[in-house]
Amino acid sequence: MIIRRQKSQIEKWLLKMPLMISCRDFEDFIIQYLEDELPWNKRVIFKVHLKACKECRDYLDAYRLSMAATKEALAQEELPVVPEDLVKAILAATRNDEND
Amino acid sequence: MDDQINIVADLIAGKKGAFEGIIRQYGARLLLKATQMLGNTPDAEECVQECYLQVHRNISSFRGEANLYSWMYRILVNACLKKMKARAVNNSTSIESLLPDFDDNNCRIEPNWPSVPSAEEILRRNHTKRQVLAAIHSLPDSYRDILYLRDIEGYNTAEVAQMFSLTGGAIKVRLHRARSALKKILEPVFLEGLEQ
Repeated sequence: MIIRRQKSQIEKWLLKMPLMISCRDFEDFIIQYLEDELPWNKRVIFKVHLKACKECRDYLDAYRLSMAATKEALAQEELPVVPEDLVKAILAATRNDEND
Repeated sequence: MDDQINIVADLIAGKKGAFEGIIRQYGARLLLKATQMLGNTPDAEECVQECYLQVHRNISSFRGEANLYSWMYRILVNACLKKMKARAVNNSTSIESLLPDFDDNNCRIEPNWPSVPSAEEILRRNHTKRQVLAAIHSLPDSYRDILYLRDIEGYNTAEVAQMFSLTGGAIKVRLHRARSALKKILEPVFLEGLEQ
């Protein structure tokens, strides 16, 4: 906890240097960075922060991991069996539709 | 391609068994997609039924620009979005508590990650897949569906913005919030078993 507080103080001090942004500002850049929409100068600022801040590096890695794990888990889901009742209900609905 | 033309021709001609054929051919895939979008089977079945009804009514307007399944899938997505708007209950769920934490100096508060594992590594662990799927379903509807359509189904921001009648900027904000929330829900799962 003490180390965290010290790190936070150091980061506050570092923010006075050129090209440095806070973790909160970094957060606002993430979506544009991933969409490859950050202009060159902001991309440099983003990368400088990423190199200097372990928390944001870990955060971005875990953020990407959750995206990849989600995609993978959904892709691995097995196809369900379509219930016969649903097949009959769809066919009945289309017949009713024709009769209307 | 000829197969598809034959199927569409049979459907338009009202050939016996043709419609049942596309239920059996595409029904399972559509039901899976609807369940993934809506998070429960009864609503998903209702949307699949609505999708087929729309296909039945509009098959003569199918022009073959996309393949038949893609065309049907787009109809299903619209049915799911309509259902999601109608139920609205889950939309009120707040996502705020699942967003990243910062201290008074705007410094990120993040758990101590000894290393960040790969997705394959995570999914090899017992029960993890189920936990990941449960996490997706626990997101509020409008966030989950934007994440699903952008990150899983590969629609671009402009297409999703049109589906939700929102601006591209608003979609990106929601997408980022959905991903952040998902990351926070899954943190304990990812951290489990990692040496601290």
